[in-house]
Amino acid sequence: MLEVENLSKRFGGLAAVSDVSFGVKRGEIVSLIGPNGAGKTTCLNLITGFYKPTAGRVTYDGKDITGWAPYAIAQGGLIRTFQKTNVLKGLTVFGNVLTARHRHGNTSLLRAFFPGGAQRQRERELRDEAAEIVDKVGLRARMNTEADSLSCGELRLLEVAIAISAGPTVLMLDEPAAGLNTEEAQQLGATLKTLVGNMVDALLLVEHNMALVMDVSHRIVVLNFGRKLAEGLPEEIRSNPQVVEAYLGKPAA
Amino acid sequence: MDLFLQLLANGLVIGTFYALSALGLTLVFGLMRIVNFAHGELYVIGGLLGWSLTDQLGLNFFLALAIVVFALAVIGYLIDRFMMSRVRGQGEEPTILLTIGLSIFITNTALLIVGTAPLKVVSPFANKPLFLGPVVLTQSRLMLVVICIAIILGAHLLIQKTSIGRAMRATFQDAMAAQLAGIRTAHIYGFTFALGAALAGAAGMLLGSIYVAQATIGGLVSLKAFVVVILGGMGSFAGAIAGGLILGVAEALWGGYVATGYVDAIGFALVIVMLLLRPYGLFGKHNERA
Amino acid sequence: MVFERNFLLAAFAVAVLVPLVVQGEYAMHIGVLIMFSVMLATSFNLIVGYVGELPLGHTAFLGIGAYVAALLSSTFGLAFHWTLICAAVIAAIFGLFIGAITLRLRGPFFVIVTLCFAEVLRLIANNWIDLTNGPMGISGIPKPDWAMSGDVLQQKVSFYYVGIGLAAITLYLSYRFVYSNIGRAAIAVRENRFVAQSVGIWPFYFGLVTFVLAAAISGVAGGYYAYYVSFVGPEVFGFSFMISMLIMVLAGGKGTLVGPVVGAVLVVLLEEFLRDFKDLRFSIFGLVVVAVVLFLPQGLMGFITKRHEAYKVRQARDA
Repeated sequence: MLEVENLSKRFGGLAAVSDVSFGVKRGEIVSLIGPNGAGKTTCLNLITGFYKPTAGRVTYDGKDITGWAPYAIAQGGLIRTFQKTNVLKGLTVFGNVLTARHRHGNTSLLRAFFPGGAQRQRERELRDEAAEIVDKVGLRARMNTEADSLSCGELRLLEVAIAISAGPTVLMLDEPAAGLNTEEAQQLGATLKTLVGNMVDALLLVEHNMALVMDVSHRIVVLNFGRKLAEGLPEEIRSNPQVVEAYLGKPAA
Repeated sequence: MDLFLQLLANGLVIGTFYALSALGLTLVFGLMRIVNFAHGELYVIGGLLGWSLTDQLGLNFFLALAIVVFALAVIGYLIDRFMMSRVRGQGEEPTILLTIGLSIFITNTALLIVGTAPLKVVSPFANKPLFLGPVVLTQSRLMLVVICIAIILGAHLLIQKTSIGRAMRATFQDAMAAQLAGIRTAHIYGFTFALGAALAGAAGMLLGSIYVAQATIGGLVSLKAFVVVILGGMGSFAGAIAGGLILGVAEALWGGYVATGYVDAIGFALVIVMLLLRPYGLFGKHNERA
Repeated sequence: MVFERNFLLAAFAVAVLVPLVVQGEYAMHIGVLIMFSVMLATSFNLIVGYVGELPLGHTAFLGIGAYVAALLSSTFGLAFHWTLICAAVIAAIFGLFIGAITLRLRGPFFVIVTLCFAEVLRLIANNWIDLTNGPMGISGIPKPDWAMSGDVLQQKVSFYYVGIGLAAITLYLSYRFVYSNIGRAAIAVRENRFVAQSVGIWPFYFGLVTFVLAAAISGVAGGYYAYYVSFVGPEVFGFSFMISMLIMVLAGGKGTLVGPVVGAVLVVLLEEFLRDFKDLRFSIFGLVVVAVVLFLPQGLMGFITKRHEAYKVRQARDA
């Protein structure tokens, strides 16, 4: 349902991403991996409109969304998180998640000023839905805590909650396991698996934690120096000599 | 044609003055990322101090100028030490609000002390007209242009060639690294703000000798300085000079050929158009910050 | 949310009852100024507190509202409510135009360009003599029908109650707006543009909606003020209104609805208290701004109110 064709991005003379193509199908978890600086996050930024691609196409559900504004892409159901944890710092956990439900609520100014019964009902539903999502990611006890005072792991959970709350069709997570210990990462993996087909149609994961990637992915795309190095099932990638070389360097001959 | 040359000459002279008036603002912004809304008020302090030293006390013009520069530097240093340093690293908003508060305070306190009367700094130069072909300029204006250029050059050399200038640039590129290299960064911030204030004060006194020093003009000076700096690009010396000349010439030509009523609006119109077309000004560097 | 609503309702009740206890022209005059300031501060706060940018030229809309009301009533003899509606609409149109330009800019650039617009409008008011009568201003704005009868005191009381009505409408709309899905979007943009965009919020649009709403409220405040003093000159675009707005919102607490109301009451009373020291008053205001930024960055009400909503887990459902 998400197709990336020949995507390229140059910053001045530097080619951050060149000629990358891959796709994400309904029901799939696809991971985008590669060494640091391979262009993974740039790819995500290109797909979600935060960068404008130099060349190439992004199509989503058959629509060409290349070069759309980030908010417009998000409104289509392509929701992402950020590598550096990004939440609404001054708001409570509940406030964050409720705000993220924005596109499911009313956007008419007149109705905001003079809410009728249906409007009030919708607002109540939004609040209950938001609370349910907070509950689901396991932050119930922190419902009314300011995001500022959460721990690192809780912030990661909140970030996922925000993304889910926005109602993604395809969810894109940028290094969700960064800073988590093994146990927490396993827990995250379990959560991600239940997510697909349940709350989201497909998942694109940018991740360094190999254990997690191998555990959850249906397919893996490997980037190196901005180019696609390999694509395949987890077992194939694990045994691909090129991939091993990219990560560990050339074995001494 | 003669009228055009005369207007052009007037515009270039005033443009040089504008460039000097905006120099302190662009310096403080370029190095410290502080937009000093009290810039015009520091200019006013310079003008009023210059007036009291030359007119009231009868001091020599250049001695008075030295005192003004020193006094403003001290004021600038103190402002940084006791106000700006407390909100360092909290983004732009608190510094904007602080300097707005400061400008309100300075203007109204100056009003309490000297009232609204326009005051004149005693000029050492004769008001004799000089004829350069078809163009007439007064001697005092021409001398002032020379002094302005000297000050602009001096400030440029101070930042580019001296060790303190290097320390300043290092601090603003990477405060942490500069500190590790043994630079006393708190001192450098204070010094930079002091330099900006001293430049504003010098401009206020110099221009007070051909126009007037007045308690209430700070707001207009600030606005014009902003216009100059935005036209040229925030934080660039060359930009301040280009912006000053553009504004000076545009105003002179508009005033000469079209109407005098809206002269002050020219700059604002230019800024609005400029920011729509080139948000970082003519010479400004594009700083992407995520 | 609940605290703010209750506070505002209580303030409304107090404001309505005050004339029964305190009487006299002077008290009513202060009351009118407070209502005017509440509208102005609330409008300014919508942008400062909820969009998160500082529109230093916000007097543009105040001035436009005042001039529109003055011109329509003295030239065309339009009734009070019609001129006020026109003032709101025209100020909103200017808000749409100015906001569409300035909201592409951030931080200091936004501050300066909004200020430029206010300056340009002030220059126009000063120079377009056929329309605005230049620096002389427009005087002799006819009194509204409801302020014709009775003695001076009764007229002031009428103005006061109309002021309460307008301020109440202002706060009702702001309250609905801030706690709606739209207001939440504006807050999200203020807190973090990237997150806001990633969940489908269009930052520019919500900034603009808020900006236009604030402009319309300012326009109404300007119109009300023009009727009350029955004179409008170019200084409505000037900096002294700006200083008052700034202090009301900062000292009261930006980003809360209660803060600017408290700020407005305090500043009006302080201004009256310091009336004999006209210039010293502004010196002190300058220091107040500095002190608030350094020592009380959230304002008075920032400490007390929480602008964010809590979700109460329903005991009954769990039981």
